Amino acid sequence: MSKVLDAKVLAVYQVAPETYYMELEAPEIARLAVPGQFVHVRCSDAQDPLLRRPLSIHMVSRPKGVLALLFRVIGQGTELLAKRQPGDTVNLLGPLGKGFTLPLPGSRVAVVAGGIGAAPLVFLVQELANMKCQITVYLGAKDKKSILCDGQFTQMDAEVVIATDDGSMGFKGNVIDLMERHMDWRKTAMTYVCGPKPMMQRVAALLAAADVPGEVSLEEHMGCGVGACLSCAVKIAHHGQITNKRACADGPVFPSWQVVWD
Amino acid sequence: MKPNLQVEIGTMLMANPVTTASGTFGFGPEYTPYLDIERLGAITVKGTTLEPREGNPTPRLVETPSGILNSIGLQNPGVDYLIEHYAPYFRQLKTNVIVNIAGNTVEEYANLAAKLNSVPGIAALEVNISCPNVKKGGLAFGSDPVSAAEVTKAVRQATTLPVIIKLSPNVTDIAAIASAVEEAGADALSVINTLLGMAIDIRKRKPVLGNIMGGLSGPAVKPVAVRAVWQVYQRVKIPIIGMGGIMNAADALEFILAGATAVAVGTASFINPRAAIEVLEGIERYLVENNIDDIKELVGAAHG
Ligand SMILES: Cc1cc2nc3c(=O)[nH]c(=O)nc-3n(C[C@H](O)[C@H](O)[C@H](O)COP(=O)(O)OP(=O)(O)OC[C@H]3O[C@@H](n4cnc5c(N)ncnc54)[C@H](O)[C@@H]3O)c2cc1C
Ligand SMILES: Cc1cc2nc3c(=O)[nH]c(=O)nc-3n(C[C@H](O)[C@H](O)[C@H](O)COP(=O)(O)O)c2cc1C
Ligand code: FES
Repeated sequence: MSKVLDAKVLAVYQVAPETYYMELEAPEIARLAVPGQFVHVRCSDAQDPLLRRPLSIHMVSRPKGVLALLFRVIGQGTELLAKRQPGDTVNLLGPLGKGFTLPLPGSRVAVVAGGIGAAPLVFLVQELANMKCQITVYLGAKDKKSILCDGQFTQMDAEVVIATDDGSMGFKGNVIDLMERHMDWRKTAMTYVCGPKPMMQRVAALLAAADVPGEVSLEEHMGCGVGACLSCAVKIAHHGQITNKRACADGPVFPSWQVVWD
Repeated sequence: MKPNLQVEIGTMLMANPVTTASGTFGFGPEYTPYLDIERLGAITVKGTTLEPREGNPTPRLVETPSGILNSIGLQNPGVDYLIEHYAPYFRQLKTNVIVNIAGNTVEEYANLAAKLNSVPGIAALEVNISCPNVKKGGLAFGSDPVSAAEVTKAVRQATTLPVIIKLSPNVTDIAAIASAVEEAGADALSVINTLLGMAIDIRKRKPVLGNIMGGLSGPAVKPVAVRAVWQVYQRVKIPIIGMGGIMNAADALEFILAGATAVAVGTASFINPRAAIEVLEGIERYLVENNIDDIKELVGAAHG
């Protein structure tokens, strides 16, 4: 059951260009959340910007009742959010959406992150590590400065392979080129993907060709976040039929082979 | 003493004047984690058409200063699905359920009304002749007094349920349409639907919405909505459900003073899922603080 509440900001700092980490005291949400879910965040108390902003749950500490967000400043809402100070409150609605499907304990899994797409995958890897899974993270960004969360993944005993567009760190090229060279993901029980849409589409095609199951976390512009307004429609194919699903309530995570990319 | 909040919309008795705006509250269950929806005077559910509809391409929503533009395009599972899957739920709810309907032709409106007429659990029909997001029907009916009256007559003949006609603000003389549908047998009016608008992405140099244009709602439209309620109240005797940018009780009271018997909370639910209940509680507080025993004393009170 999801909640709406004021959460106290415990910490907020910049971790990469335009990218902020924010820690919030929200025990009820931390307790209920599963990897892949998101919170709908009120970035200002004013009527402009009006809507909440969907942000993935980046990490939780259930014992401390804390949840963390990792977000990129791209517009008005995220800019205001980044200016919050410790001690301020932020109104949260969550946890929302359906998260990732977890594999059997001890499974071999791959995690593919592009840019800010790493945000929800840290919580996922936290959970996978607890389940003693064997994890490889394919981590891509435009340059070394923009690589996110590599330290966190390594700390959780995941194998991390990095690709940067300019070659300033790891493999020179994108994460898909990297995957094509690296064969390990072909033997996984599940591959989890979050990143820019064109990247997710290409990874989904790779997975389909190799007959490997995968899940992708989709983004759509959201109004309500709870399944009521139908603004976040995504096309999903199931048993040969294409229907509109709601990214907020039926997703944001969907089986990679069911997504109709356009 | 507790003030009397009860109001009537045709033969539909509402325990209090607060409902939700169609398309902003799903079918009800979406908001049950946040508020007791049965405390509301009614809930109004997403627009229903004869056949299922896929709606418009995405993006379907974009934020504008103090408002949103939407171009959902009446995505819905169709009336038969509603009757089979949602009506049993509506029947169990201890509040009124208003079903919003939309058609491409006068016959479709009549068909919808006939199909829903004898379905237990439905308290009233809200007839959407004002959706800016569909090509056929919708706004075309709502912008002309003659066709608005035609739809009203057809629905009136097909059902014994209270008929609420939802008016568009995208017209020159909203009171003329209101008067025409009153004469054609409407029991009440919903005022207003969204205002036609658009937004352009200057980086891509393209319209933002997949459907190019959309309907504006939220606080930005409130002054237009209050004006529309004011003008309609001066022309008709039937009750008005006021809506358009209601964010809190103070906004709702403006509509009531302008002439609304009931109010609907729309976009506000997206920002605060408890908005509808907070509007109700605030209205009640206002009545107590101002020693008013009956909400009806306030309806249209600003007209002097
Ligand atoms: C389920 C989900 C999880 C997300 N998780 C993260 C995350 O962990 N970290 C992160 O940095 N970003 C995340 N995003 C993207 C984030 O929501 C947008 O970057 C943010 O809403 C932009 O708001 P803004 O006011 O800064 O930008 P503006 O451009 O001013 O936003 C304008 C409007 O568009 C909407 N909007 C704009 N871009 C997006 C988008 N990509 N997806 C959904 N709505 C959008 C906003 O809600 C707002 O209504 C997520 C999106 C979704 C759908
Ligand atoms: C996302 C969205 C979907 C809507 N869908 C419908 C609909 O199906 N039928 C209808 O009559 N009005 C629909 N409306 C209009 C609202 O019911 C209401 O008239 C309008 O939003 C003004 O109120 P508000 O500013 O409080 O939201 C919709 C509005 C929004 C924002
Ligand atoms: S954001 Fe409203 S249905 Fe998904």
